[in-house]
Amino acid sequence: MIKANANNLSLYITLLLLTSMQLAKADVMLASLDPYIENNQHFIDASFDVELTDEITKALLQGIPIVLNTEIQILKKRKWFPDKKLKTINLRYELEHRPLTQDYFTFNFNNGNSRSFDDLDSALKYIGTINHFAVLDENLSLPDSNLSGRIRSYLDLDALPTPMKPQIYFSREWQLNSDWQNWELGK
Amino acid sequence: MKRGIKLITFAGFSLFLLMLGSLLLMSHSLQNPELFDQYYSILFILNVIGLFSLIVLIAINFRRLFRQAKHQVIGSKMAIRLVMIFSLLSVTPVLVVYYFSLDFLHRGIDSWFDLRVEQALDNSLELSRLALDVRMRELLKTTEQTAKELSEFRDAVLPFEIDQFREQIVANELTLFNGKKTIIASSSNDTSSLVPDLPGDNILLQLQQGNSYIGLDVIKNAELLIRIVTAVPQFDIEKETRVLQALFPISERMNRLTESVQSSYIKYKELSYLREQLKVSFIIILTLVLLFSIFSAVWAAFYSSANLVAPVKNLAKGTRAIAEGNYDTRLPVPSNDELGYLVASFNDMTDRIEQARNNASASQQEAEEQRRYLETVLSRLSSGVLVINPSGYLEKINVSAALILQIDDASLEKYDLITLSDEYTRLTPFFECISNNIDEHNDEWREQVTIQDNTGEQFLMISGALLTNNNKDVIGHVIVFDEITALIKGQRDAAWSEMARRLAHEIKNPLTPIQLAAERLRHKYLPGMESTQSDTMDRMTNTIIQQVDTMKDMVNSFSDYARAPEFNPDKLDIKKLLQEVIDLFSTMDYGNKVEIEIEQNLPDIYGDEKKLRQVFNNLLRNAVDANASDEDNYLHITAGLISKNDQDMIEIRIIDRGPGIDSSIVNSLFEPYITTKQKGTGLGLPIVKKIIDEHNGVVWLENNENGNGATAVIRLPVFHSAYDFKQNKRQIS
Repeated sequence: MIKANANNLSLYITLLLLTSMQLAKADVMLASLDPYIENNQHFIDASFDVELTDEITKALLQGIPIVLNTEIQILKKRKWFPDKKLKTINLRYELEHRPLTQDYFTFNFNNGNSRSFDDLDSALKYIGTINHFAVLDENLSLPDSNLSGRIRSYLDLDALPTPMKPQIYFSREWQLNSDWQNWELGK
Repeated sequence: MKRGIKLITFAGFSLFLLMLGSLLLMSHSLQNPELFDQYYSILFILNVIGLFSLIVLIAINFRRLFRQAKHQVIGSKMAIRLVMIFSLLSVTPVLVVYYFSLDFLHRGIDSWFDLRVEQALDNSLELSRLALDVRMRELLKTTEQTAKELSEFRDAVLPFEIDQFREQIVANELTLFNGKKTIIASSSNDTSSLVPDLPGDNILLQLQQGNSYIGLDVIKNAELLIRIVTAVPQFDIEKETRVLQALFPISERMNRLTESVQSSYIKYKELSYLREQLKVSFIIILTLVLLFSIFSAVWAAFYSSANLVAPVKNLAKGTRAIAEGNYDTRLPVPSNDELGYLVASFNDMTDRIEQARNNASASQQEAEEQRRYLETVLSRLSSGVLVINPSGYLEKINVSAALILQIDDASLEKYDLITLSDEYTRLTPFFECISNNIDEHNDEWREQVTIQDNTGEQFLMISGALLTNNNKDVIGHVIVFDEITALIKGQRDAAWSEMARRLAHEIKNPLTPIQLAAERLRHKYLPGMESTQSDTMDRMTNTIIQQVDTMKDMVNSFSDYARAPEFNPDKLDIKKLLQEVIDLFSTMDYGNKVEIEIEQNLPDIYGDEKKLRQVFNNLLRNAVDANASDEDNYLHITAGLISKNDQDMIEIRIIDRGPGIDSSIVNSLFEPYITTKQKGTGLGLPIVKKIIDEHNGVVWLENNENGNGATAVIRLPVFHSAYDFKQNKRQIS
């Protein structure tokens, strides 16, 4: 039952996101978000459509590694104050191009796994996908605790080489950010 | 204000240190990204804010400085000039360095990249690929051969056979799976790896098109492997498609070499891509350093100019204070340098000026006291004192001098002697005497001068001396004079009295025998003489007797003048006395028309009634006698109160219409034996003069202004109080 509700919610979010994607060009957009509870734990499945600008693609092909950071926050809602951050999780993927093998190499900073892809789209899809990720123990989320989660993904500019920084901070070509997407963490 | 400046200076200095540290860190972050990479953005923003703050601080300072210059604040123009000079001196070399640094930067970074190096790297990468390609083709053949051999086995037996095949072809991993990626059999030399690494969908798609996949792959531990995926030949169409994947290792040396070539290639490409960004970053840092240096220099210029100008400003203020007479001004000594020495000298100078001023003030006070002392002494002196400068101008005159000369002392000062002589004709002999002696350069002199006026003669004894300074230069003349009129007249009166007494004695003695002889002659010889002779005898003896009587009267008058009867003064109503005398003369009916004009309420005087009655008698007699020669016989008598030299006096005028007084004797009328009458003894007016003198009054005769007759003028001091009484009594006695 819970799984069914969660699926409805994820479908709703997916439709909303697909509608908004029509307007987007090169950016990071949330394609789907599927929160669910399994074995007394809150999990999410999410996928982001990551599309690089020409400038970023050019830099990638020139050997500049980029880092995509997916940030998940667990919040406690408060009446008169901003929501309190209970937990912040960063899922960081580094993507780089390998000229010898002509493929795209990804590295997961969280678990140390690496993987290579023949084409860029596959690599981007891989680093933009979250499968079966546990965000919170169910026992910690009481019905009246007013907990919520939110997720976003963005290109980490701080991870780029230092000489690029004065320019990329003021360049729209390098601004790849998705909006925050919230979901409720109920039982 | 000072606190604000200190605060701004402290803020500027802190900002300077902060920015310097920040720039150093930024520079490090470019060289060692691992250390400071995460702070680069913050440092960059901090530096921009710092520069902006410096600009604001400098703008505030400039505004303050120009405002001070506009309001003519001391030192502001000098401060502006110093700031300009310091800024120019510091900014110029920095700009030059900046220009050449930019040039070197561009050339330096561009020199890193060379087309030949790039080509070499491309070639080495291509070479690596070719080297691997040969190996991969061999392995592809081996794998395809293995796939062909495996095609003869059924799925159920393959798990038992696959290890042998893997070992046979020396692969790391050999996996057989179907089109749905369901593993049929798998073998691996890595026992820890439970799940084989399956190929992606795009590889399977490639297989569906009939092409085997061969490629280099990095799996799990970033080890480079050769991945070969090929379809297992299928002879039975209805059977499911099977795919064989083999992962072959690359020799460690080749792995290392290819990795090295690739990382170098990537690094070069990365640097090539970052070339412009690097330039921009360095230029930004360089520009920040340039701006920081310029603004810091300008700020330092403000600080230095303020420090340099402060003592000068203090000096200017101190000088102005000194000019305004504030001699206790002391300036803080800033340092031990030349400016400090200058300020110390200024303080020393003000010390000396203050000391000199105090000395001058003390001297002035002393001189003032001496002058006041001298003034007091001079004012108390009974002698008259004049001080005349070398140009002949009167510098000083004391009170006694003014009293003696009967002039206003204030009107005399700053006039020369010639002008004074012309102004006061009465005093001409006096001033001429002084002028002559000054002109003759007499060091010391003494002379007697007689001043004539209508009240009589005034005798002055004048003595003069040169005034010289320490250098014997003549700085003026001092004239001291005394009135010796009383002394002279006393002497003269005494002489006249003595002469009268002797004359009376000498004359009176033979008169009685002459008279007795004449009477005996008459008595003895007259009765017996003939009538013609007796008449002659009678007439002659009578003449002798009458003339002897007359001579006796004359001798008695001499005797009276010489004897000077006792003086008995008392408070006296002069109006009453005058009226009595006039009434007496009126009753005697001399045929005069008498007009009397006496002020009412005339104050009393202090005098001897009997003697004053004699005075009025004598003067009225003289007037009546003078009128005798005139048909009109008009006699006018006035009496009134006047004020002369701050002294109240009663002035009595007896005016006749007679022939007047001969100018040749007008000044000697009051001397004995001077008379215009045929029968006069010449003692009437001297007696009048003597009595009036005894009353501290003055008397003189003057011709009337209309030339008709003469006037006798008497002035007698008014009696005021018992004090006056005593004073007068003492003076008279």
